[in-house]
Amino acid sequence: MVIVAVPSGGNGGLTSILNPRFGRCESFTFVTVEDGEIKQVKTLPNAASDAMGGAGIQAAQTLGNNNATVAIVGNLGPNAAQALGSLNIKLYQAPNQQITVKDVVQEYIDGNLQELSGANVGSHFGMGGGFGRGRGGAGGGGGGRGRGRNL
Amino acid sequence: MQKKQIGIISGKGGVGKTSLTASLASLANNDPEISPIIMDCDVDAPNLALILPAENEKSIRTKDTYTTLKATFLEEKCIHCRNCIEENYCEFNALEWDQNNKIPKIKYLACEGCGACQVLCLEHAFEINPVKSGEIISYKTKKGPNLVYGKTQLGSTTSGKLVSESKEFAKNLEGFEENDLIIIDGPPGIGCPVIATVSGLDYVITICEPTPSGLHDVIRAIDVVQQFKIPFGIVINKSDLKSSFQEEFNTFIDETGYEVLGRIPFDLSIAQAMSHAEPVVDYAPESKASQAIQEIYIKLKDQIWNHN
Amino acid sequence: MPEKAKIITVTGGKGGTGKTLVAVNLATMFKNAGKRVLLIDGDVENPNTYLLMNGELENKAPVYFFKPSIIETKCSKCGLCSKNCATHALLHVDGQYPIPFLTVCSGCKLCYKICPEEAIKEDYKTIGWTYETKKNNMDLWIGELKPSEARSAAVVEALLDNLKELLEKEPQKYDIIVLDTAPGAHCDVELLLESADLIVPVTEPTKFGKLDLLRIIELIELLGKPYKAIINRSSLLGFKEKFLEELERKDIEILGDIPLDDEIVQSYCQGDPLMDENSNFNKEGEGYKSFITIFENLNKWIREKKTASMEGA
Ligand code: SF4
Ligand code: SF4
Ligand code: SF4
Ligand code: SF4
Repeated sequence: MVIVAVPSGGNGGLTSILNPRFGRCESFTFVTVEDGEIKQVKTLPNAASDAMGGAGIQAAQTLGNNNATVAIVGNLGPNAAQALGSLNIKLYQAPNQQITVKDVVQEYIDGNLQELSGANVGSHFGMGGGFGRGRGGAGGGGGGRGRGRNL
Repeated sequence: MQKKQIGIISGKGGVGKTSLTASLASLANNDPEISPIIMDCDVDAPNLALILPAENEKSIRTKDTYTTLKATFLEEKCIHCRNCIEENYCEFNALEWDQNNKIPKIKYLACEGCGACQVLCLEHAFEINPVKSGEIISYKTKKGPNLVYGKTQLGSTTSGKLVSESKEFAKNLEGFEENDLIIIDGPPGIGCPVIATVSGLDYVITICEPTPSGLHDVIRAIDVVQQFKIPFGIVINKSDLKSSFQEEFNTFIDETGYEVLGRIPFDLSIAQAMSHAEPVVDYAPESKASQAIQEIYIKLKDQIWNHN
Repeated sequence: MPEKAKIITVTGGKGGTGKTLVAVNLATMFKNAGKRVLLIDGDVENPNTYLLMNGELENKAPVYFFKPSIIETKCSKCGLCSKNCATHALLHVDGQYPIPFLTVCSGCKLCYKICPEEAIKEDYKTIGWTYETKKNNMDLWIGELKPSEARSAAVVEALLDNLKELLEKEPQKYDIIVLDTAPGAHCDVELLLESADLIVPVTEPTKFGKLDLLRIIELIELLGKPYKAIINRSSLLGFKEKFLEELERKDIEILGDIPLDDEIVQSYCQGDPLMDENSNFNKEGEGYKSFITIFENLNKWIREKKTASMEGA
């Protein structure tokens, strides 16, 4: 048995369309596949869809907490790829066209999808944390300098 | 034509990036094969709009963006325990006492919106809220194509995010489906906004001058582009500059085998065109610089549509 | 009483206005006048001053930045750190140890402060370097951001920390400190402006230059610092007069202007400051003379400030 996670549009479900933006899709559809057949379907809204930063990581966390072992993705940034990788979730590339969750899972079952080894788009890491000041710990306490320049 | 996105970047500013972008935009616009859309992603100092003004003031659309988070202090909840400052809740030195040494004050520019104070103050006297961080502006230019650009507000900490949002915004513009060439004026440097700009592009032009610092800058810019495995070409501006450094520069190019898309000779008409806020290819079409840029344009088309 | 070093910050709204040219030559002229000078290059994404002076980078010291590191023997896998991390830099799945993602971590240390098991250690990564070198009888400090890192302000801050330390230990070591900033109006630039006694924004007489000048002045005024602008490439096509008028209307004072000049371009390419005593540039050249005027005006301004502050005291 494998649980396949698909980033989906709207509220998700087998008839919804795969959303290529992994971290920022509206929902995830979790499809349980056993013996080449779809056994069970569960949907969850993506809490990270409008997160200020780290959306890919947060989305990966949702997949991990729902025991997904396979994800079918459109675009995948480096953080999300690394996060999914560290959770041992196998990645497959969705075809570059509009496709329903059901069809893309069928493609997966039929062995027509290519396995991905990492990110396929660049990072958007301007979001949230990427750009700021970072006084790196002027308040590190004690006499030592927070930034640790004496290390 | 298959849709292609190209960006023009430089390790540092002031080496002719905007000038080249404006000229390429004009050439693409006059090219019957191409329907371009122009973007200025130098969100901290956008100025392509000066060269490509709106056809009609009324058609200008703006959208405020709220991508930056900042803390606000809720005085009524504070019980003056003094922990926030004495125990350094804020790693960014954005919290300090007010004049009377009684309540904490947030330094707006320094605050990164990291959220630490909100979690650490047990009285919930800090709140984190999105604030206006910039604008996305779009219009139809006098010359024809649509222009989209982002502009950050003082105190914004999310230039990269504004770049990404501007790119998203452009995709939803009416007529975007028909645009087959997206020309982006990128920010200088190698930081976040540059990374957000080059992400997803089909081709990048890195422009530089043949001086010691020019070489240094272009190497840094190429580093960034290569991380994304995007094909790129170098444009050398003021390529005939009399400098003892020319040789070193040429050796570097020969040794690395990097693609040189073109060389623009030093030409006063570029400065003149910029002073009149016009693309040089329109201001002085016969000038040496304009001819060089026309060659670059032809080579660019060949690179993006015939070589992939 | 011996005087505290004067700090002059040279800035410019956009790149390529000649900011570094001005910073290097101002520092050089102070040195010619017998002052003890420290030049600090705070354009950490593109530190170029040393190239304009044919200098080398020396005395490299890393700049460290906080990163969380999980002590697995202490961690109870409760997930509290991950739940509270605003940038979602800690990946936590039920029953597993959290995994930090440094590219999105803001360095806020919240995780470290709230972990109930004290299972997060203060760890550090290198995000850039500072250098201290000597060139033409002048000390030069440089900050450099590591490519692929984004926290330029933390590198600038390391430079300013060193400066603060120096001013505390040896307040009389220098007479003049010249700071060169990055282009733009970001927090790294803001830090350098905040440290200044006087600010010199450099611009050029075009519509672009004006737009950028106004942008940086907005920030300078917010910080409440005195400033006077320098107009570079002022001979550009007779735009100067109109430009000066516009600045006057906006009450922006001018320290001087620098015309387009071949020798400036040459000095740039050779890596010899135009104003160096030992350089063989034409002392009657337009560029050379313009710098002399700027230097006189700057000294006058410094004297005025001094009298004003003495009267104020
Ligand atoms: S803001 Fe919170 S932590 Fe700071 S003094 Fe008030 S109650 Fe205490
Ligand atoms: S949100 Fe973060 S940066 Fe802003 S005041 Fe609070 S602790 Fe400081
Ligand atoms: S808060 Fe501390 S104990 Fe809990 S998961 Fe994080 S590191 Fe482990
Ligand atoms: S330091 Fe702040 S941003 Fe970084 S992991 Fe810890 S809580 Fe998250």
